[in-house]
Amino acid sequence: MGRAPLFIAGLLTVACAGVQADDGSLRDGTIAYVMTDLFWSVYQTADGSRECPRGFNDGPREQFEQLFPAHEFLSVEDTQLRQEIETWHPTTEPDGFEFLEVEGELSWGLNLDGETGPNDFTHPDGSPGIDNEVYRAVGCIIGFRGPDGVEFIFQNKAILDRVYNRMMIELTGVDDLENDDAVTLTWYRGMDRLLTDATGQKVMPGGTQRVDRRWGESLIRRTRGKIVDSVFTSEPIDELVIPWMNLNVPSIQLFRDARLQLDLTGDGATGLLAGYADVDTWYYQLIRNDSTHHLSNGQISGISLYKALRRLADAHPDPETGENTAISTALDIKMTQVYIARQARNK
Amino acid sequence: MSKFNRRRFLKGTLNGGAIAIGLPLLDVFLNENGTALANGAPIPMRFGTWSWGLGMSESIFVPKKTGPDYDLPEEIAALAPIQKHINLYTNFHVFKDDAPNLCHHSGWVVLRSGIAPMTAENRPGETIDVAVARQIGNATRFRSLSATATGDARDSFSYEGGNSVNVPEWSPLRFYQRLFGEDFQDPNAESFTPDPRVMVRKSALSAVQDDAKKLEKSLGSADRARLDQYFTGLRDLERRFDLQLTKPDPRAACIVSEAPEDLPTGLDADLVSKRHRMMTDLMLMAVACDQTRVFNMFYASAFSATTKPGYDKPHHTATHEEAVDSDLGYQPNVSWFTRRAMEEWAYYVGALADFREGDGSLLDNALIYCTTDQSFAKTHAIDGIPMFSAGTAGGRVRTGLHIDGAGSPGCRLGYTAQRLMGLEIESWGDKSNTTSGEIGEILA
Repeated sequence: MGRAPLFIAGLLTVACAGVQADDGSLRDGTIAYVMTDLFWSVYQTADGSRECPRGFNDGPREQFEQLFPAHEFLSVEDTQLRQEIETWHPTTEPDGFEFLEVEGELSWGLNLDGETGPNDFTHPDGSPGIDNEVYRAVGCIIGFRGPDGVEFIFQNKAILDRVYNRMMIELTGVDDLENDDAVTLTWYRGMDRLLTDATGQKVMPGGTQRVDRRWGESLIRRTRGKIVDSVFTSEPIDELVIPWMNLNVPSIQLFRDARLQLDLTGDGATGLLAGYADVDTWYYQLIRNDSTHHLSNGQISGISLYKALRRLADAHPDPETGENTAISTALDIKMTQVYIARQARNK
Repeated sequence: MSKFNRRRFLKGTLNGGAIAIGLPLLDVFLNENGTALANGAPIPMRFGTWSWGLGMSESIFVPKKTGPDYDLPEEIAALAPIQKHINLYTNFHVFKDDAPNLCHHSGWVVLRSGIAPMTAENRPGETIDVAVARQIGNATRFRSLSATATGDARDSFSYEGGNSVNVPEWSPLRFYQRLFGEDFQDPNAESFTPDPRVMVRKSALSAVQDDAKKLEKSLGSADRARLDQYFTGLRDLERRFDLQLTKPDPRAACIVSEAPEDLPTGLDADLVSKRHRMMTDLMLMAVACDQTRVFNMFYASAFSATTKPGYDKPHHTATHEEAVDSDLGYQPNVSWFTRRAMEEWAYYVGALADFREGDGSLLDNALIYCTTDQSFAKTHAIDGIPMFSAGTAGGRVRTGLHIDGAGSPGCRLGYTAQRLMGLEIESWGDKSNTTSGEIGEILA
């Protein structure tokens, strides 16, 4: 049979998707979701006093004023460029500024190592052993805090706007969206714009995505998982790469032992992506995407933050130096149901 | 009934060139009300645009009351003297559909072109002033004029197409020289001598056009399309030459002032204000002298870098870096910049309203379309984007109103404006911005 009838059938499916019941999008044991929101998971109280009792970290502008009070008498090389070089070639040596880590005991996230230790957080629901050292590093930087921190706004906005960032999951072997103890999860990169309402902000279920089998082939990952009371939990993926372009700069994040915990419905999936982020990849994704101008908007000192990330890294030690190369983290993730269109490998 | 009309010319030849000399704009040419010429033809309709950058602080910008006699919250308090001349439009949306929300770009592009851009470099369609100029701007030396208060020639919200931005005048002195320099034909001069240089230029252009037409026949479709825009420019040049070889109609309101001082570059708010007022005064003189009937004034860019004395961050940077004051409920320094913009909008409208023409003002026969790029700039929001209009468009528009758009497309104002300017369009805008719904509340 040619492709035309299948294509027409696909259009009809999309057109009707909005009025189907929850399980209507589960077809032949398969349901797929496309990522629409991705935030670094930051537990915050209204005024920050519980997690950041000593306030928030200074950014590049504030540090610059302290480092170079007479900068008008100094050369650009000795001031701005020195800081730029330090930002792009950071070290673990102290920079003379106290770094304010999160001091609260609560955090979103997952217990990644199955243990409960002195450096772990407690989940707001009371679960112990939460591993989220990225939160400890960024939780007292205003740029990472909602509702209007620069990273909070822009990195998430890029997920919606940029096809480069189009990531999706497909669950197969699903008998029941509420409970199923054996489900297969496959990560794909999509290659289409999202189906949205007129504002462009609300992604509608029932859209169609093609799989990027050219540039996205190497990003495909597969693992197992289970659904309990409509919560899907995956087994870890050894190495998950997420394209994450922001402010027009292509970049990636690299997670080790990555896993998903998602509340599923027929229209969408909401929950956490957690794992150990490669420290250097994490940092360079930030500063590639954000110039010092943007970092300043969120009072993010790349120089100070890198030292904190390296200091707080808690997994995957370098076999030669013994220093940890990855840091536990969690991201708040939202996905919307989508139909994956099968096609031949694109060239 | 008067036996005269405004097309009454004294005809003759000079140096072998045919000339037509118009008579002064005598009262006998006007109707009893001074709002139209004696033959019933209206005083020319004008269309202007004005733009400011980076939106508003909603809690202190949007009035509580709609309709007439609306309240003026503190961020727009400066509009009190011109409130009767303007309309304020809030709760109108810019829709991006499947296009990205391009920072400080999507908002203004949609409101000026009706189309959501797909990239930061993308300028789809053409801007509203270009469409209107094609309708009402053909009888003047300049089909349209653009000026910016920023001193930066890159700051323009007017374009013919993606690669053809209408570069604004950025220097008061240069603007004056362009308007009233050696190519200026004083409409009120007693005598008129065609400029032989213009005649030579026109002859040269005709020769070029002939050659270009021959060239066009030998090109493929892609190259012909490429040349089309070029020819459009040539035709406009030819039209301007024709106008320069004709004695212009007298304009009683046209009184050319002395050349202004030039200003240093810079974006200090006081300097921008000074430049804006000088550019406004020059622009209004250009309109009064019928050098153009379509005019764009650009107060601040979407990435406005205007600075505030004693404050270390320019406007755009402040929108992102300054925290919302929890007590005030807005960003105080950002609001300071917006208030300055509103002061300048008030100056601009006030200048039009005070500029006498006939027994009315320039504003009586004009419609000004005023937009920005964001609603809440800190988060790059484009929903609820505020807009203004000014002027009655010859009595066709009611003013002094605050209109709540109830989430309808902001393009409704652009559509309404174009219909008022005589464009026979059934709708305007693309995808969800498409509208054929005028804002009926403002129509007289």
